[in-house]
Amino acid sequence: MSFYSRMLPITLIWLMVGLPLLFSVAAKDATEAVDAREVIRKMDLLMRGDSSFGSYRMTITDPDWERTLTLNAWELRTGKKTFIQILSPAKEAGIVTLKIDFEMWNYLPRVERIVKIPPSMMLQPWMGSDFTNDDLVKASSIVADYSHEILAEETISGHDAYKVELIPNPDAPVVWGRIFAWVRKSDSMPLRQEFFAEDGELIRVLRFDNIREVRGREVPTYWEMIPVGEKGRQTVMEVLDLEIDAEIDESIFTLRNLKLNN
Amino acid sequence: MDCLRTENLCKVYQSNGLEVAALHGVDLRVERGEFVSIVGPSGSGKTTLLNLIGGLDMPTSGTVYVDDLDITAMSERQRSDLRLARIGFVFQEFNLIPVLSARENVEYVMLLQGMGQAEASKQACATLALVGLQGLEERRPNQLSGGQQQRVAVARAIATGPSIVLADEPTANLDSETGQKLVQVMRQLNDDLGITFVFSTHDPMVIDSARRVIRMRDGRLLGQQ
Amino acid sequence: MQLFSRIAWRNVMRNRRRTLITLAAISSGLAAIILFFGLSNGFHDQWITNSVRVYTGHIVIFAEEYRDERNLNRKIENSDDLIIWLDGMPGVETATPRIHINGLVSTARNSAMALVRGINPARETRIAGLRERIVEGSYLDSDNARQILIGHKMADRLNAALGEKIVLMVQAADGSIGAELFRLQGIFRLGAVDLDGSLAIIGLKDAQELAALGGGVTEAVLIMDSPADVSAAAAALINEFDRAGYEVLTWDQLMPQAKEMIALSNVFTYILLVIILAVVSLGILNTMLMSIMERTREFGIMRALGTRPAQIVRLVLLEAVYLGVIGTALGMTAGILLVTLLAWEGIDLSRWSGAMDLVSSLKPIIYPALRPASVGIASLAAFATTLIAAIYPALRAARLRPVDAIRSL
Repeated sequence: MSFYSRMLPITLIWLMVGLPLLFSVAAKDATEAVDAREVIRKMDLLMRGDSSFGSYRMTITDPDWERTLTLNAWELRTGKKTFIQILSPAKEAGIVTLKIDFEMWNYLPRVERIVKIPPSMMLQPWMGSDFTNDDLVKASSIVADYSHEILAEETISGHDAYKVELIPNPDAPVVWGRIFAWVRKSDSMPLRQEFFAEDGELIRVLRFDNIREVRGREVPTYWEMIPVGEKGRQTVMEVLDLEIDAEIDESIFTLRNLKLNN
Repeated sequence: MDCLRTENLCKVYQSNGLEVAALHGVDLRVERGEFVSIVGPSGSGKTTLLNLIGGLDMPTSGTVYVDDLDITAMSERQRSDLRLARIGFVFQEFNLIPVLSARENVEYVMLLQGMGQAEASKQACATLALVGLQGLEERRPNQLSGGQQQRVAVARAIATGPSIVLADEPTANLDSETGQKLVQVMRQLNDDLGITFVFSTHDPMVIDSARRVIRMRDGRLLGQQ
Repeated sequence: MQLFSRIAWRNVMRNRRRTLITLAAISSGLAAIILFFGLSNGFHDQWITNSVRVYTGHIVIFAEEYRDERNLNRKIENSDDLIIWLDGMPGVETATPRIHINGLVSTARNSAMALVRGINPARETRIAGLRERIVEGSYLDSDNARQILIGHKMADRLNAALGEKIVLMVQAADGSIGAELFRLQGIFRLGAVDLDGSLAIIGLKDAQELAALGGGVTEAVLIMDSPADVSAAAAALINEFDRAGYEVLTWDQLMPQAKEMIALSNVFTYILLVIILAVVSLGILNTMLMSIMERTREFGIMRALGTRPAQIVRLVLLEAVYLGVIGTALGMTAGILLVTLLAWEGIDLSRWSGAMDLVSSLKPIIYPALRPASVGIASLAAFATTLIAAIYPALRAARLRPVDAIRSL
């Protein structure tokens, strides 16, 4: 037998077995990539919509003090507009944060002045909490500015969840090196997020709990942000009320309204 | 005892890759108290011979004995010490250290030998008087005539009582009268103090004063009178 | 030895012109080095003094853990008593309380992040002459007049005008948002780019209200009469406050880059010293070699007479010693004189003070400073150089063979 005629059967077997294997793996990867991004997109949409109005209670805990603020928040998707008004306590009552696109202002009733928050302050705490100004401004999109990959399937707080790894794209305006997001398999409900700095250090953990129905939607109503390096500090946001796709007057989201509203 | 003895002294120089023989087997014997002149044309090897005798240079072969000491077997350091102790030199010119006075020049060798300043000074002045330079002790070399400088050199050479004084053409740069005077001084010292002198020259006047004349030509001793 | 000293000295005096030139080389090289050391030291002194005064002060006292956590709740209570006590400490020029908070300074059109400093106006100006540093407007009237001073760079950036109402927003000690209106009272120029661009100064009581600090302050700052007193005073304070819950730090601990910059600067000065001396030594080497060559016969004669090579070496080195001693003495005198003269008036650098802003001088005038150590090191180096330069010529002279030396004409 010649060399080639001996090789042929073996080659054929390899082709018949190997190729399909390759394809299926590739296909699996492809479907998984689409899945991960889609999963995150679904999660992102859960709490938003074209517009929303919500009432919240924010409790900030510090080794030396604890404070609770109540606030109302309006959001409009087109134009990326957010209007947050503090209702209590008295010292902060009437403070408003307005965000349009990537710009942010505060209105301080105490001094009757509008103050613009410069880009250099974006990573500073918002209202003394463990959320940053940037968290509100959302200069980055959790969907568009990251690449996503499902790392594993785990059980978190009794829910079956995907563990998704988000790596920021090279040019993205993102300060994190990496984010882990656990989302419920069934409906992409956010369960937990871990934020890592570029050097790999875990900076903060955001935990979602108390998933219940609010005005016909299932949402987590308890958000707990814990900065890992700072002992004794945490911020808890409780959703008191949330209406998605409500009718919202665009004129709310103006600087004029900041002052008038008081 | 011989003051000086050489045996089959040879010196060969390397010059531009060529070998030049300056001395061919020189056998010489000088007794204490002699007054010897070595005579010959330039190139005859007079200076080479004197350098070897004085321990300033080493022969290619052969031996030199000064006071029965084999200086050719000595190290550089030992020869240097020997020169200091036993040999006086008078060169053709530039004998003296310019920054020192006549007295200080004469003192130099004595101080090197370890003599005290006061004693050296006294001795120096006395020796300068011997060569007829009293009153000129504090003069610097550039304040002395050629003949006077040479006399200072002689004074220095004898001041420490050396076994032998070697003079290489001491009168060559002097006019005949001064040269004569210088040799007379040396002769006087030889007569009075019995100091052994060996000097090289080609000056006929000088030759006459010598008691013993050794002729040299082409590195060989010719005859002795 | 005395013989050779005599010969060496006379050899040195032999060729007056050559000796003078060599002396000139040594002494001018040394004088230049001393002058440069003086300028350098003076500059460092000035820089430390001014920098330190503008930024941190000589010694700063914090409450324990304030620096670790930057937490306003780690504050010094009862600062009044502390300040009065500090006043009484020997060697203290001024003691003053300060409050530092990060905040946002806003005008109608612009905002900027700022370091807000609450001061006791009367005491504060004694530290860095703040009152004299106001280039527009005037100083704070009191510590609770709701007035604010900002740097000229910040004023430019904010486009702020005197008398304008400015909002200061901070996160207060109790976590709440503190916001108050202040009237722009004055604009200062400290000469430090970062401070002029981000420091906002208000009264101490205003700061306490703004940040809900009650009666507390974040730090107490000390200026000593002389920088030399700092370490001793700091040690004494650390001892005193061991149990009191205070942390005591000195300027070089707070601004380590300052000391490092000075150390680096000294390195450059030493490099310069080496270069100058290398050039001088080449000159000396050349001169001495010439002198040795001219004396070949003389050395030959000396060797013929029985002088040992080591004695020849000693002779030449002795000549170098004489040159070295005289040259160094002249150079030291000239150098010290120069520095003293210049230190009288000082050197005015105001023409170049634009660049000086970077290094934060209050007055762009440098007073060259004489330091015994610097002068000593430089002089020793110059003397050593002279000797070292003579080594090769000395060895050359000693190695001459008598026969060759005498033969050469």
